[in-house]
Amino acid sequence: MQKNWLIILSSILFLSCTETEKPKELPFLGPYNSGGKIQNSDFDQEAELGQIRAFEFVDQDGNAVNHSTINGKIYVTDFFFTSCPTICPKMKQQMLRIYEEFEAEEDLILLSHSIDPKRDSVGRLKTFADKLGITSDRWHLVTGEKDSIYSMAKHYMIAAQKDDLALGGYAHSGQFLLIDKKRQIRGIYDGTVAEDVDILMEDIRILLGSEEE
Amino acid sequence: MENGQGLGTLMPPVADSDYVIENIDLLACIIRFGQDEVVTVNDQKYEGVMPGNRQLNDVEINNLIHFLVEVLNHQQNTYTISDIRKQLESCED
Repeated sequence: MQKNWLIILSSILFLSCTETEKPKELPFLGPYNSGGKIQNSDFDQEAELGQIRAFEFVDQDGNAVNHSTINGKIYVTDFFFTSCPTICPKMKQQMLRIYEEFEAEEDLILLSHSIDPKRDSVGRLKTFADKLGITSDRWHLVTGEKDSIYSMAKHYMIAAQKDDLALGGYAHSGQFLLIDKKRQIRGIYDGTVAEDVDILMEDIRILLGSEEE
Repeated sequence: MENGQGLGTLMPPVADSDYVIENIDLLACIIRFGQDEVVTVNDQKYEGVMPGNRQLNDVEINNLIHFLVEVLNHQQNTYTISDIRKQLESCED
C-alpha cells in the first residue's frame, strides 16, 4: 500500500516538474471574428482569431500612426490623458520602465492614446513627451477623432469615457495590452502595478523570442 | 515616483527636494489645496498642476508632512499638529 502511494506521489511530482519546465505560452485574447470558435481551446487555428483592426491617428511629432506603423511589430498600448491627476502618472511611470528596458528593441513599439483630444493637441503631447524624455519612433502618444479613439478603446476592450465626476473629467482603466506581430491581443495587465508590468515585460521577451511570430 | 523621485520633468521630486525643505511652512496648504504655479525644484522648472487633496484631514496632512520631511528628506520635523492646523487656517477658502 505504502509503495503504491509512493509511486503515485512520485508521478505527481514528476508531472508537476515537467509542467513547470514547459515554456509559458501566451493566450490569444479577443476580439474574435464572428466565425471564430471561442469555445475551441485549440489555438492552432489562428486564422479564426480576430485581429486588431486598422486605425489612423497622429502622434506627438505630427506623424501619422496607423496599422502600417505597427506592421510586423509587437506593441504595448494604453489610454490616458496628459492632465489626468490620478492613475496616469503611475501608468506613465510604468510605461517608461518598459521604454527604458527595451530601448534598443526595434521590434517593440509603445502606443498611448489620449482620450482627451480637445485638450491634448499634438503640441501638448509633444511637450508631455519631451518632459517624459521619450521619442516618437519608439513611443507614440497619439490623438485623433474623438469617436475613433473611443471606439478603438472599445475594440481593445478598454474602458474609456468622459465623466464629469471623475478627477480630470475622464474615467478610464489603467490597463496595458500586449499585441503580437499579427495584431492579436496576447495579454492584459494593470499598468499601475509594477509587479504586473514585470510580467508584461517577461511576456514581451517571450513574444520577441518566439519563432512562430 | 514610487519613492518620491518624481517623473521626468513632468512631476517634481518630493524626496531630496530643496523645494520641500525651503517651503516647509507652505506644505500643509499645498497638500490640501494643490497649486498651479511654476515651481523650481533642484534647479529644474516644473509647470504642471498639482491637484488638491481635500479629503485628507488635519491629522493625515500632519502625518504626511512628517513623512515628507523625516523619511523622504532626512530632516528633523519640528512641526506639531497645532502648527499644521494654524497653517491650514491661514489658507482656508
